[in-house]
Amino acid sequence: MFVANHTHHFDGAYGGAVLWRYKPWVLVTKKWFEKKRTGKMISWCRCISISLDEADAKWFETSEEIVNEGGSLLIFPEGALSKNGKINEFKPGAGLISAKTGAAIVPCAIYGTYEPVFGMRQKILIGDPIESKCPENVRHGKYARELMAKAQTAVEENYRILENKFGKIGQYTEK
Amino acid sequence: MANEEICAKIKAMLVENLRIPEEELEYDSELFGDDIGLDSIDSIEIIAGIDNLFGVQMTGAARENFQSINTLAKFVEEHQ
Repeated sequence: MFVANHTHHFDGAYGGAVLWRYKPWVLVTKKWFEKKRTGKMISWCRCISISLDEADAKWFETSEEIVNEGGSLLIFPEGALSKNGKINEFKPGAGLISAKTGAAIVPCAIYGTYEPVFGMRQKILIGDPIESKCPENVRHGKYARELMAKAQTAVEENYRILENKFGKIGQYTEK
Repeated sequence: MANEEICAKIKAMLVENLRIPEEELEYDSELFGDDIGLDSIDSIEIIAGIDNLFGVQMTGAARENFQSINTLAKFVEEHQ
């Protein structure tokens, strides 16, 4: 299960392209499926709809099934683009799938502003997998939060590595 | 009181899926309050569990339906 920071609406397509050999299913907020043209296009792709406005378990059931059958997921646990100069707190949903299925979480840091002509190339740093083995006496939800905290730390560290190597681009202004 | 059989099935599901100690869980225990202390991520497992057990969709259901086993069972009865 790949988790990444969310910098731009192109992240899903970009991440899916970079990770092509894993053919990941991408979690996309429900509102995108409801848009006229984009919605149609997204529904043709390996995308799973997730509602962020109400308690929704359909995405969870679908994702769990995919992972149990050996498939991959690409999730942006912030749930939305960062608008406040920092990576937002990772929501625990991806961690819950990992806690229930035992699938490792692979933290990915996306860096760049999608300006291939006049800007630098988009980059992604894929980190070491975070193994998942929920102890018998621990609730999956609690373990999920621990996993996502680790994943967020790893993504932020990887992003800093890219930033140190290629320079600050103003994507995140808070440390 | 909601159907005893439904309550029993929901209790078994909560004990198994959410790893809540059986002896701590009563039909009127506050699931998201001081009694059991579940949080929002746990509601995903509850919704999935209810769907698997009864084929009843709880996506978008009001928060008060998740308060206890009794309220969950009442919702299931009303939507089966």
